[in-house]
Amino acid sequence: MSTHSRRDFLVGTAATAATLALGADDVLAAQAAKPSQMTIARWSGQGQPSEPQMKDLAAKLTEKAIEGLGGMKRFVKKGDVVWIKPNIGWDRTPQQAANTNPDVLATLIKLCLDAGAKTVKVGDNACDPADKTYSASGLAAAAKELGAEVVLLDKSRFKETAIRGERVKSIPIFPGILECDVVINVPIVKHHRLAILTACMKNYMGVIENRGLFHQNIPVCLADITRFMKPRAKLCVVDAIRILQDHGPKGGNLADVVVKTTVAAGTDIVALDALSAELMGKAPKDIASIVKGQEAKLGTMDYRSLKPLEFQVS
Amino acid sequence: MSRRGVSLTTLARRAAQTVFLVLFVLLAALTQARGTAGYDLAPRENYSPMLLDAFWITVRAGLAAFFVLLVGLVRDRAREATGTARRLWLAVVVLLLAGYAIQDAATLWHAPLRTALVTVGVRLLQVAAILLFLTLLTARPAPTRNDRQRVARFLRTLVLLGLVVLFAFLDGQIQTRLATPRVPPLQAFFWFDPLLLIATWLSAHALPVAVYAVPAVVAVALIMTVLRRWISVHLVLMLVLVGVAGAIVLAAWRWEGQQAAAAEGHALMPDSAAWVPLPATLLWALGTVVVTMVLGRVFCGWFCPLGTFHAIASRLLGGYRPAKRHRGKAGADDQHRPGIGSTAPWQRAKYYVLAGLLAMALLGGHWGTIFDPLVLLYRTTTTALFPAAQWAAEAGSKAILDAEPQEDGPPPEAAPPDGANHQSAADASETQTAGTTEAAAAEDSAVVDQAESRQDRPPKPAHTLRFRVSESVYEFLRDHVFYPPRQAFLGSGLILGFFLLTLGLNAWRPRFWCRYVCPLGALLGLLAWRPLLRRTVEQSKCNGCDLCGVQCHGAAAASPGGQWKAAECLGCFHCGDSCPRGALRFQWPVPLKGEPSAAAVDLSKRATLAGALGGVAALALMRTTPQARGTTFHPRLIRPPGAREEGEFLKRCTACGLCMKICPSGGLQPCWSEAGLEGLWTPHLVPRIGPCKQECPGLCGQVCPTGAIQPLSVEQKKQVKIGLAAFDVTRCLPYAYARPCIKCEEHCPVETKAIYPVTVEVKDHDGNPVSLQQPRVDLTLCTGCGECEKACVLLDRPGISVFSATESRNPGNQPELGGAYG
Repeated sequence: MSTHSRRDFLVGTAATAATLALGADDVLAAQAAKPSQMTIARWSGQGQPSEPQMKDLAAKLTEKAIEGLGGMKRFVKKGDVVWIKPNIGWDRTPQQAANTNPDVLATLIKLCLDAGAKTVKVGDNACDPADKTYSASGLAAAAKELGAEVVLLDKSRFKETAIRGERVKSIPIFPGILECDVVINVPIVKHHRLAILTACMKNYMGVIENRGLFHQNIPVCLADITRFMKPRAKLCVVDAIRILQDHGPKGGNLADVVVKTTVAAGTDIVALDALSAELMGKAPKDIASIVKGQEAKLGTMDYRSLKPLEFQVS
Repeated sequence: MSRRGVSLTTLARRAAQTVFLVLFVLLAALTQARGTAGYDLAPRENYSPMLLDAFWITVRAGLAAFFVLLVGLVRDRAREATGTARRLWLAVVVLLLAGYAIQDAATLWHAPLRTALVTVGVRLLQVAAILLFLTLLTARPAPTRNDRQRVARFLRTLVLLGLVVLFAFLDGQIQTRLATPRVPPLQAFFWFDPLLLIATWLSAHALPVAVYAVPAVVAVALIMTVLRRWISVHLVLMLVLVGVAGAIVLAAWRWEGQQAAAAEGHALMPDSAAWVPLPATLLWALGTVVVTMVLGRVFCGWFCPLGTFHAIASRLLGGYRPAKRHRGKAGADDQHRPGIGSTAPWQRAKYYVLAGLLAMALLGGHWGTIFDPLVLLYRTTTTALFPAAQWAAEAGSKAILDAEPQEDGPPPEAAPPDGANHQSAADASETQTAGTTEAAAAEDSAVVDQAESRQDRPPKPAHTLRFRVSESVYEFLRDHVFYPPRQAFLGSGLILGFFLLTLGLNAWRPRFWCRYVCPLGALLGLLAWRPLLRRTVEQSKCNGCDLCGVQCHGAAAASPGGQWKAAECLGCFHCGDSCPRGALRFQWPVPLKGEPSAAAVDLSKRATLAGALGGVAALALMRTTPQARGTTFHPRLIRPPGAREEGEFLKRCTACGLCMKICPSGGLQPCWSEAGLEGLWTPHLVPRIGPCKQECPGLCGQVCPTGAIQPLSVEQKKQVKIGLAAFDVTRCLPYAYARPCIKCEEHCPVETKAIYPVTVEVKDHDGNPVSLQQPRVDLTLCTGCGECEKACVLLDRPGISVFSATESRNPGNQPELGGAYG
């Protein structure tokens, strides 16, 4: 918390009526005692960092965001099997910002292993052919280098699972993900034509098959799968190093990519999605899945009410 | 030479057949588009390392086995042969040994000491194996008809083969360790096929020549009729082939310049008049031509994997058993009944088939090559045999998985929603108080609770042994052999049916296909007109028992005691083994014109002409459809990117199926009726099965052995249109059912999206207004890749489909103003 600026913190907390009622010192005391629910790490520099600088920043921002939550040990216990679920959807390069940043993933793997995880598995149900997507996104190489197990989700091994949602009663889910002790949800912030935003909640569409059906009522379906995954995935990390502003979710056009050099982490999935929406320049209340998420009591879209710890990283 | 159960020659032939069949299958299995290192054929990372090793180990094992057998053979020969023959054999062995030594020296030069020592050790072991091998052979007793001894003989053969394979395997392993094995060319088998070379060259380039050639052929036929005593059809055909070979060499010469031009910029709208030659790699086939002219049809007997299939089927179906053929017909003069290996007049049929095929090719029709044996086998392997095996592995392991004792599902944390209040008790404590410090505490304690409770989790039920075995086998096959999951092909039943029919016919006549039908066999037969290696019969020893004829694979002699037809002989050298009196052997007679001679093929001029005319007529009939005339275009005939203009495409495509096997999405499928009869089994994209992946530069074009599909770069491919998407507004959800979807737009790989949404307001069932995004297609941007069709949630008949309009390759199929002509 060394670079945590009190002024930033106060500005953030002043937004909510609840915190106004409390003295700032009390809040600080509470913060010291209880681990935070949400952290946001931003680059303090201006303009666009160079490629190697961005690599370095991605790692630093991720470390900082996790550290702010109380460290990885809060979520990963010794001997755990961890499934890190990035967005590995499309046959695109990291520069095209259609998949999670490989350096964010690499840092998380390192933190998990340092926290004593037995195995770290990385996998997502890619839209394009998996081998190519995993390699083009740079995620397979990053994961393998750090000793994580890269899992290609075998379509014939998905298992129809009752999730007892509002609209989705049952859907094929990859059992390997559910068998893990911890799931870490690591989406990239992207534009999505139908859902407007894809971040944390939308990222869960990569643990299932037949996801095309979700499009007919995407807010409710996302709330259903999020409710099912919530007890398994306590930690969400939002990669907003580069975000895809338009032509999502597949993108491909570098003109649509905006560099935000931000990583957020937390335990409230709706709050993180709300933050992602703001990073995209949208109001959380305009995004149906976020509104639905709050309605379904999956979290709060007023992320400022969680008093997120903000860090500036240089 | 005394008769032996299995001679060295036979062992060598079987080894060669096995090795080539295994290599053929391994190459087919290696033809996978993993894309781990990008969609490219060159990087090793894109292949299963195990398959790659297996390939090179098989190559080395084959070489070593051949070497061992050759040494034994030479020893045998040297004992009997004299003078020239002996020296020749010894020279071959010395050359081979020298080759091994040089190669070893070269690879060991940079190798670490330990590897070098191991290699030398293996070489010593190999020498020991050869000595042991020879000792075992010498110790072999004379064969008897006693069953027990037969079993013993069989076991001995197995031990001998095992020895060879074991040491060859070690050798192969050493080689793969020493040098990083390269990725073999996936289409290598087709390079050695002269029929593919000649027929494709003719059809692709010879149409202007045909204007002169057809009258010339008629004239030659007339002259031959007049001068029948002096000129044989055979001679004329040989002359034609020599002429073609010369022209091919010329074409290759010109190719150099063309390549440079092609490297500059690729013609996306191929100019059909342009002289675009074949891939130069097909010129390897000239090697086959030379070998055949010297040794006869050894290609058929030793190399051809389809021939090996037929040899195995013939044996299994009992085709060679004379007793079976004569059963129930006793009484008549059995002694003089022609044996099963006796040349039948109908064996000439294949030459007439070839005549038709070449005549068709001369006029620009390439249809006949779909019956080329390598093409036929590759297509069958790709579309039927591999998918069948894949289905067995996938379905079998899934069935075992489903039969496993069910684990308890995850606890129902998510309570079923009822009405507005669908919130679980577990979530309540965390979310209701969100925004206060208590929330953080509750949340955190929940996390900790959950973490601690992991220790008390009940152990997972143990899997059955059956499941563990089946799952590991499945995973091995999935990761190494059957890469694209659930690869399957339309109309594979007909392809498999045809293959099984040809196999089944072996019960009636052994190697039916090779004897009666195979056009490549016919071509090689013509080339084997006067081979240097010939069969000789020592008349003083021969008693006319016809055992050689009965066992003859190619039915190369009218038996008993008939003349040997070099053109029908498959070079298996089985007759020499079957002769109990040792009267038969293959020799290099000098001078070549002297005895023993080979009988001519003895073709009928009339039938040859009829065959040729039949080929022309068949082509004419196939060209009578509106589509073949270029006046209509089949909407669903979506050719792979880089495919030439339809006419030029059909002049080259052999329908081998390589492109279908390599396609990363598995969307390339054999045509059934889309391209007419002339385009039977040629590739077309079925986006519903798999789209054309944007980042793939067209692996189909890179593997195409005849250049029917041209290789492109990724950037070039993005410029190529293969079709145009169209909505079915009676099906598409936002159009027809007032439901949001827009999945097609999401999957559209065009960077600026060739599908764009238009927001409209419609009424639902109750008359309430619903705001929807309806997708539209941009005529200019759409490349027809089919990602949208694949992505559509309507699985039976999608709401968006791709049709062939706007395809770059067909100038006639361009509806867009400012498109290809703009």
